Amino acid sequence: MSLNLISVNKSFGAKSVIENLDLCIPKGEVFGFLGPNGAGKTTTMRMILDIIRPDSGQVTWEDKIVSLATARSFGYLPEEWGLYPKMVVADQMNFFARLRGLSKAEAKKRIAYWSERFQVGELAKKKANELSKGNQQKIQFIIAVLHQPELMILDEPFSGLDPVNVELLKTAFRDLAKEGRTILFSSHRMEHIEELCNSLCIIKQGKLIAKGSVGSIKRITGRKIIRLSMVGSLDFLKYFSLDLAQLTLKHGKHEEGVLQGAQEVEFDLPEGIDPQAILQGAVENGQVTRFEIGDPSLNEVFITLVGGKN
Amino acid sequence: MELLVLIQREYRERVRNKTFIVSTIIGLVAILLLSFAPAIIEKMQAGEKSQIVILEQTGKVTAYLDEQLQTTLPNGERQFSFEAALANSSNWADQKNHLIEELLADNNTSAFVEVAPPGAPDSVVWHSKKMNFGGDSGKVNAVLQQMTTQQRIEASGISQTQLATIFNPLTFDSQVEGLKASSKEQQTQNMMLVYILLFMLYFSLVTYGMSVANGVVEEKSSRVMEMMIATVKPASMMTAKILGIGAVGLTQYFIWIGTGFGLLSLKGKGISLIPGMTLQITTIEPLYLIYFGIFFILGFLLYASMYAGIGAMVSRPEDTNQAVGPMTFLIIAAFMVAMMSLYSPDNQWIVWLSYVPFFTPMVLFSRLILTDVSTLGVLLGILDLVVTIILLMWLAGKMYRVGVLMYGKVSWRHMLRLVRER
Repeated sequence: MSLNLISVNKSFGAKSVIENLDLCIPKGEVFGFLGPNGAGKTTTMRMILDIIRPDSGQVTWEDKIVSLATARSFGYLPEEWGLYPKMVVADQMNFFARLRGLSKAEAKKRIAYWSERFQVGELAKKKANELSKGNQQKIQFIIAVLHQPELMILDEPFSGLDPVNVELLKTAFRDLAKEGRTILFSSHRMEHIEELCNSLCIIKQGKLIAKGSVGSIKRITGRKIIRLSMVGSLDFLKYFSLDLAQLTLKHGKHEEGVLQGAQEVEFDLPEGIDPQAILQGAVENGQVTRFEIGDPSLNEVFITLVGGKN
Repeated sequence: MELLVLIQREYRERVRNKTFIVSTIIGLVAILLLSFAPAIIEKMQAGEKSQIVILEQTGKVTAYLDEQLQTTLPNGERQFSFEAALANSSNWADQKNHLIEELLADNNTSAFVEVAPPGAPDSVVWHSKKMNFGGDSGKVNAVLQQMTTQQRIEASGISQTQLATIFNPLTFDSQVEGLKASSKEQQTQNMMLVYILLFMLYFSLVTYGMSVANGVVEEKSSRVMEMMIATVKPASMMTAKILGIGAVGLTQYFIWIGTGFGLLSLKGKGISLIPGMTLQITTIEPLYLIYFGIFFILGFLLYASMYAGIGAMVSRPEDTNQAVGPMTFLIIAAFMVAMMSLYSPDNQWIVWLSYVPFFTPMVLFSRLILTDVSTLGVLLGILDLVVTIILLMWLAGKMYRVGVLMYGKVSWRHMLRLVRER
């Protein structure tokens, strides 16, 4: 009972887009799909929806190879437009609901529910090409969710949304997850992924480079991050072979080459150094308000993993 | 079910579209204008009286014209009134100049005519302020010719009986063999009908064919295609598009033809398209309209599947016209051949061409009405259209399947390779 990609390969002409991709997304999971632009995320999503077929390997849902029949039971939000530009929004939602096999009455009921929830009631009579990017996105999400799909494939669902709408969508995500629906979505906003996902994967140039729970991905680089806030001089950090000038300074001022006042720094724990020694040094040199040994943020992990040469 | 929803969308979106509404209304206005054309033409001619001044030496010509030209206007008044202006060789030039001035100054006089000026007994000059193509001058000319002929015959001494014998005309009837119509009038009317229906066929094949291509390109360029491909079969999409748009075309025809028939039955007389040539309801065999329906539907399916296949290869709306260019030329060629078939429906070339699928809808249709085509011939034409349509639909379906998600420039060779691979 899951979505499986088994050694999937896909190339367009001579260009290999997906190489030997293996993924297993258990049912009921909110799964983040990460990767830099052009990594093959959209291609993978298209293969899950049987819009294009893998050259080799299999994509299965509930142990059946995906086909149009499974794809139409999924909910899909494409990255680019997925609406008829000149069609009125209400007709558009009704059309897609009916295509997915909903009865007229049922379609009407659910459209009313979701329109209310996403505050798009007043857009019903507008043509799709008159909508702002954010409103289009909301309409497309409603279309994707109307037929209560077991699996939702959402390509950058948060793009173009303002903070209020982002919250609306996040709430919807959580509710859908509670109902046991599987959601696979891509985003470049790491905080959304951290907040919403159980697990995630990162692909780069068609290859899987990391996969697992949010916590395990954060630890994958082996980096430890020290977050230190203190009043006093940070000069002692030199003794841990740290270059003061390169420290990430969150607050405080850099005056005449000397760091002064209450300041907050964040840095990688240098190899072979005991964090306790750093804490001790800090206590001896000033008043520590915060000391934390933590994992890097997902954003940093992403940059480390993806930004590298390989 | 899904096909129905798809067709419904295609149909409703188009029928609600401004272009459809406007073109339907324009068509209706044209039908109304045509049906009232005779009345309008009569109205325009009414009240056009002609006051003509005749410059002559004796006054006899004026009297003769007055007696002979008794044409009346629709309101019962006489059309012509003549006024004599006499002059002899001494004051002719003065009188003429005077009359020209008067003609230019006065709006009541429509023309002045110099008959047999001194030194040129056999000449007549028609002076008027506007170019005269036949019309009044033609009528006056005819009467003057007749007068002169009569005077010359009298002068030569031939008797009236001799004259009657000489001019007794042959009876000349024409009987057309092999064609459907038995009389010339019937044939002319059939040609008229075919001409109009062919124009409608041509017009609608191009318009609705383009509409199919534009519909596909719209789905591609707006990327809604991706949503659709994940929901329905490309074949259903294509079929729905073609059927939906075809239904839009039929709707338009029902509105137009229905109105036409309504008007005809209302007036109880024929629509006069060109004065003197009437197309009467009784002369349109229902069978012809059935043929028209069949060939519209088959022709539309044939061309629409090609338009759909080509549309699937285009990604930007602005490239559509260029891509469908060859198709449009094909339809124009078919239309031209059909036009030629109006005059020689039994020409060997035209007979052969009428069985070439791309030409059949228009050319065979034209031949069906104008000449005798055997039942076998009709069935053969329809069968060969149906087979071609199935083949083209299959091919277009494949092109659609591979083409709809290809963006950017797609070459024919690339396309063919993909079609073969799938």
